[in-house]
Amino acid sequence: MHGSLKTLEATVETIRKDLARPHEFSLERVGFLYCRPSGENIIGIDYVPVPDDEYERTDDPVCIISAKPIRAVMERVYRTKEIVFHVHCHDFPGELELSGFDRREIPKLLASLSSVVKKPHGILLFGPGSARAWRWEDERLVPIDVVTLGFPISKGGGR
Amino acid sequence: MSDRNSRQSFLGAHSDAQIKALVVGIVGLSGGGSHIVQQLRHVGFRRFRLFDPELLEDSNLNRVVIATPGDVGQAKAEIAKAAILAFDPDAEVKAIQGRWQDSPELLRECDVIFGCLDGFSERDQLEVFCRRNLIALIDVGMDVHPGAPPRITGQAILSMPGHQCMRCMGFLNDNVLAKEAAQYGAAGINPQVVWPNGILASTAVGIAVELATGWSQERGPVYMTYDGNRRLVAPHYCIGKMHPCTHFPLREAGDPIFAAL
Repeated sequence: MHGSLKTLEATVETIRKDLARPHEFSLERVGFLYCRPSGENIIGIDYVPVPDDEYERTDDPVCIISAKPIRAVMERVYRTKEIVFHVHCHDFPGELELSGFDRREIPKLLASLSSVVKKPHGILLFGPGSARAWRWEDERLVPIDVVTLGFPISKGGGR
Repeated sequence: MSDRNSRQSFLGAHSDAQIKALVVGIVGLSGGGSHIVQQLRHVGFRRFRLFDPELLEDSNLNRVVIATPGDVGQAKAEIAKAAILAFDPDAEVKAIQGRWQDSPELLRECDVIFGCLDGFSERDQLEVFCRRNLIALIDVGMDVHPGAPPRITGQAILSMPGHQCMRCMGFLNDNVLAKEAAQYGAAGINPQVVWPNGILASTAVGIAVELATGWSQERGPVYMTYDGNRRLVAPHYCIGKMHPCTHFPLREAGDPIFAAL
């Protein structure tokens, strides 16, 4: 594993607070963390939630968002050349891992983003008291460390 | 918890692992830096990035606590590396006899950097680097001001990204940088003695252990001042009275990106 996704404690608190808000019908919330490179590392600088009215109804126990927020991400990334991480939360106990749906669907988005700006876009997944991240490299998800700069500094996925 | 560290078990059940996980950089390995090396290895830190361009001189022996007269002429970075490995042969130590500015990739690996530098300009540069790369910076320094009697002063500062910086604290400002630039090349010999170095280094190591373990649950920036004449270490009056930092917006962190306007 090389490189880390580094964020401030305040950014993580903002993300957790946003993702924990109940939605009218969607079981999960999604957001996007815009990042900048720092050598081998990636620094999270700006979290943008998906607006409430951009979730779509589905009979499956998954979260579907409309094309509009995805277009907004692509337009911003095209303009700013930033790296972007898809962010969501699995707020249940057990090993923190991407679902089959996540592994099937999110890489399609990451591949599209890479075609707009070739950068190591990725996924940031939160669980109860922990976090994991993967970046999209050579058409596959590569796990990377999550470092949260706070009191204390959290390395390797805590918080 | 290892037997060696059983007396520091109050730091938390996972403190051994938390301390071992952090990569610490030490920039400047003379008086302050040598004390920091010595204490960090005892606390259990194992991942070090060491930077100093200088060779040890006889005049350094009054304060470089990890050196002996036989080390004169050796690189300070290598002396520090040897001191760590003598205590912990499995430690991961990368030592650079050179300027930290010339090895940014190695410095970027750090979670916490100790700045043990002379002069405001280099402190300013190191803080900019740390803010840009989201790295905690602990600045340590002492000075002796002429007078009758001379006055010993010093500081240990935590500049934590997301919190107030050394400019917010008033420690760095354009006036002191300009004054230093005007005196460039005429600084003469900078007085240094071992005991203030030790006091300030111990304070700095305490900050690093807090960052690694969170044991005391104290949060936020730290600016400890040292009055060597009165033998007093106290928080600077600015702590608790500062506005949020506007000098280093998070959106400016990271490497420059070139994008069409």
